[in-house]
Amino acid sequence: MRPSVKQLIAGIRWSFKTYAVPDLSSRLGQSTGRSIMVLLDHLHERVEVEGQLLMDDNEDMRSLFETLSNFLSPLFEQGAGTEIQAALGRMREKAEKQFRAVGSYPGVDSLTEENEELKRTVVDVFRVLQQHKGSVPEEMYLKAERAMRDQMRRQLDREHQWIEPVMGKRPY
Amino acid sequence: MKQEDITKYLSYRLEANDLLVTEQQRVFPGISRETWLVDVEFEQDGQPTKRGFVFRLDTPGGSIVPLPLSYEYEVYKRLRGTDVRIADVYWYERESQWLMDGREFYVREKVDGVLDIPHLGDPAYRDMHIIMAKEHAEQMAKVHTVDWREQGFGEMADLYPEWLIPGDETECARLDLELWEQIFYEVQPEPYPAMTYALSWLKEKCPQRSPGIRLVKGNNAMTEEIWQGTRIVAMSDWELTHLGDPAEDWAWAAQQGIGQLWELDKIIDHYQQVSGIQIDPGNLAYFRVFVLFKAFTCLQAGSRMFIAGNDRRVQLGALAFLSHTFLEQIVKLTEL
Repeated sequence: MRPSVKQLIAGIRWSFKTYAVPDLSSRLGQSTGRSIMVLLDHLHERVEVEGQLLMDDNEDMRSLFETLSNFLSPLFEQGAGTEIQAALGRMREKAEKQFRAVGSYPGVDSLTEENEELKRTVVDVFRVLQQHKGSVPEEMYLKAERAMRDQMRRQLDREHQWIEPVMGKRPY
Repeated sequence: MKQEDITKYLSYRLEANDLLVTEQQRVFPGISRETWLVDVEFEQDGQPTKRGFVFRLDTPGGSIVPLPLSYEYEVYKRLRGTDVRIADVYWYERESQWLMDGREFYVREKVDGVLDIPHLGDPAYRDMHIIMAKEHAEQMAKVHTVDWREQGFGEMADLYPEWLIPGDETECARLDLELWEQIFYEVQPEPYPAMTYALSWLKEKCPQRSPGIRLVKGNNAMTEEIWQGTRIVAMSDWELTHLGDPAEDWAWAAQQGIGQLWELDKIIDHYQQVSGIQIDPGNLAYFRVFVLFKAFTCLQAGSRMFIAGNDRRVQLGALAFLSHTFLEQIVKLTEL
């Protein structure tokens, strides 16, 4: 269907800037105008890339869980503390969870829900490992922590793509 | 706020029959809370009188600062009688008949002056800016040397669970970090794994000792104070005040751009001379990260309100994404 979302956003932005912004006289009105412009720029960047970024991010986290499972499997065998085992168990469940019916279209809302659940799991595992650092062999802990930090860095780099072009501007 | 409601309220408080609101203006930008400047005229003891007031209240959806409005009022009350320059506070209003659009508010004295620093970035005004930097340092010295026990700040702990009193100087940074970690996990609208890592860094680097248990202004900035020329006539914005390490206030000031007035190390040197308090550079480096974390947390609280539809100001939507730039600064400083 045309115009596309991106084309509509570009038109809204141009019209707003050309016809509405010059008439904004109060400081609060001008501030609101600036925020609207910043968010329209943000949406213009985001609309095409968000779905793919979420898919990549979700896949990256699942891959992390597989990696951690491999690094940390001895902890299951050795009967490490129940909290660690429970956290790793939750991680494995989330790695296998199906968030959509097979063959259904991965809409942004569904991908976002999946993304947040997977991130919650990353936070959970990181916190539990931190809290029980003393129970984990040092080399194993450092490998796991490095893998998690590398994934966090990649996640921020992905988001940076559509935050940075816009957020250099004053947002209010 | 409706002018008729202001008129009725101030008529009641001032016992005036003929009160007229002559000016009513909302302060810009007012992201965390609404601040309204109100000028009135009325007759007092047969004489025409003019007065100015400031009304402070949460935005309709609540405040992005995850501490109650009354907290700031209680801080102001306890600063009375000290040599910290502040506006006087008059009333905190909870009576349902007086609420403004259903919101509690407090009223304080209106002090004439400006928040903005003139000619920032213009080297022709460097001497003036250095005077202002020293003034800011001297006023902060007064804040940090308040006898908080004598002024009743210990009683705040009976009113607010968030008001923590360190047992000694080794607890200042740790207690506040624990509080704000809890607040962060309560207000975040989505998980932030990178911030969880940053919190682990903060715990590891948390200062073990502070130069005394001091009254910390919080969100300290050159543009949070009311200036007349190069003199601060009233210090404003006490929403994040707490007991802790004064290095935190210098981290806030640095983050908010005080280095534009004068080099930060020179400002702190001057502060140390007038206050007698030494700012540990290691503590300052820690707090440079910690204040970014606090600011991020407040903006995420705002984002949460925006997402829930409780506060649809687009500024909150935009600031939610600005907070990501704070997160990026944090991960850089903590070497994620």
